[in-house]
Amino acid sequence: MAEALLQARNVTVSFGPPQARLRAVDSVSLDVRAGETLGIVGESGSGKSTLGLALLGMAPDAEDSRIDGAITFDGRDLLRLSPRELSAVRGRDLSMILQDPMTSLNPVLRVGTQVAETFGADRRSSRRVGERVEDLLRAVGIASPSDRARAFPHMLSGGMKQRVVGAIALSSNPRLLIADEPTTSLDPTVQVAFLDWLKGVQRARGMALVIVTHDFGVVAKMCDRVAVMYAGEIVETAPVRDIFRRPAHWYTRALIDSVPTLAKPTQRLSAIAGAPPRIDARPGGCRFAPRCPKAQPACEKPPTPTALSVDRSVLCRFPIEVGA
Amino acid sequence: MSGAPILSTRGLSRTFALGGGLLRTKREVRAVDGVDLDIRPGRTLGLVGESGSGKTTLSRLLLQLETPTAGTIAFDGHDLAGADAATLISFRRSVQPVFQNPYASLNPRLTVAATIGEPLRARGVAANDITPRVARALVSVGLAPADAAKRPNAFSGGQRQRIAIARALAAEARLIILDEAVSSQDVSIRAQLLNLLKDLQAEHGLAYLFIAHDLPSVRYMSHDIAVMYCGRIVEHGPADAICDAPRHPYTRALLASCLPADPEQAVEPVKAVGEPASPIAPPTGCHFHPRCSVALPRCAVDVPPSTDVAPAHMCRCHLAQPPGL
Repeated sequence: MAEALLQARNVTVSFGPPQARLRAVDSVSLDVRAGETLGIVGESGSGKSTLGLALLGMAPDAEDSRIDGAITFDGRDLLRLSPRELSAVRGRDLSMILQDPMTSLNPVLRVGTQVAETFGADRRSSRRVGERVEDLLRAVGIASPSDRARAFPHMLSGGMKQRVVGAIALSSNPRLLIADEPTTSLDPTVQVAFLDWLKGVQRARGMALVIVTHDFGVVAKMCDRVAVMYAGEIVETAPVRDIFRRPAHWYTRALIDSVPTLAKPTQRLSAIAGAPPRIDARPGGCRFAPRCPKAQPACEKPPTPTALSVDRSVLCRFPIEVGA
Repeated sequence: MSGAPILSTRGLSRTFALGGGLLRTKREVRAVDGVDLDIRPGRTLGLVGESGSGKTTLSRLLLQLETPTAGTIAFDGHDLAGADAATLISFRRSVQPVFQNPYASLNPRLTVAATIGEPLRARGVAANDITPRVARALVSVGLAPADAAKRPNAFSGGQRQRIAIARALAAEARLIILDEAVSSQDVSIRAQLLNLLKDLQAEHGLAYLFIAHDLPSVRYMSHDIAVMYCGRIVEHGPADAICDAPRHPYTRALLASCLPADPEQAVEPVKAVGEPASPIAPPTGCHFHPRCSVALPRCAVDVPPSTDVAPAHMCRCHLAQPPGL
């Protein structure tokens, strides 16, 4: 097993006043290994995006928000670094792509200017910077890069904008890229092309990739390992094949069975009853118990993560039998 | 086929004028271009397309929220252009929308009872008859009669879509136009809504126009599927035929773009290059030709005609042959 590039241990992201503190992410531990693709999958409000930000040492924009626990990257705890040290690590080794390329790019600056900013270049164009910008745009598969560098973001299509965002994120040759719903706003035919491109870049550079998504199709296409989140906790971690073929948590299985597929078009979807709990009204025991078909009285006490094998763990007292 | 169509369009088109300032030439956007569709009782017609394909403009035309620039819409066999008041009233009652964003489509100041009861009051249903009808509609979408007193902010997105469906049911809709109505919902909630819609269809014989960009959901819901590209329907037929034996290269590209349901599923390479064409400057001939892997020289020149490639299966592609040729 490859060594962990990033280790998160008991990471809690909380915000709000002291008497009513809310935990968007609640005591979560995970590893990201060098060169792998890890999927963090969950529904809205599960804490997946907050966790994605926390892995970069970023707390959400909310009242008194803070991150507790330890996030070790390359032997250093990101949560103990000074803002200046942290900023240096983020600029060099860690990078991020957000969901909506329209809001990631500055609408009043030319594309080339924004890409050049990542070199620490000032806004006056120098020829050498211009060449580097064009090389970078060409590397992310943008045709006629010199024209595109002079364009404003609104002049580019969604897929092209997302590639520009990718070019900026990858310009420092990061060792870990976090992509939060990178293709949710793209059309289906464009989405696949972007994912193929991202996978190609990752393989060529041996970069680790964390994809935060709600879409099991993206997980199936891209990921080596998967962490499933529910109500602020990771309920299951497993290699991608096991997540689809032999899930251990009842929530994972129910989620996969609730997605329509072209292979089984007429089979009735098995919907999960109810809705995820609100962040301020989570059950005291297992948080999925009120919606779980197999809940028992013991589930009123919180479960602890159980290792099923070297590669798998589950947060459930009565997991689905998955064999050795 | 079951029964005469509730809605039937022929050559339906909607053009928008664009620009036309002092020194600019005026241009036209053909958002919807010559669409023929029939929507029948108890059936679901799925409509798939990417951004700019015109699917939302088409749904607004069918709801009479836009006026066609050419072509006809017939409701129960009556042309809606120049229809009498009785036909229009019947149309308004029978054809109801559920929109994509339930946070914008429900009035936050009205109670659920007022929202669902509004269409009933408008057509003169007696006040003491409205409450039981609202309660029945709420129960049939899986909500409680007591929810009638609450306002939208008490409900989640999925519950709000149930309220919108209840409003259509209380109005005695026969056709519900679902424009990306479940697309923004979480997967577990989306499955609940899709199953609810199927149950209501079986119970009440409702017709649906189910508009989405997500082909697996469309196939799950639909008896027939129409594929739209840049304003035109490029392929239209039974759901199984469209998904298992697609004839249009664009339909094939859309199917190949569906993400795998399983990490071990073989993935076909996508057969479309570039991005969806813009209706502002559509390519000549077949709009899909610049992205098509099998395009011929004539595809850039001639608009492909509608060809029946099998019974009830239409395709607009120069390479599609009628059976027996």
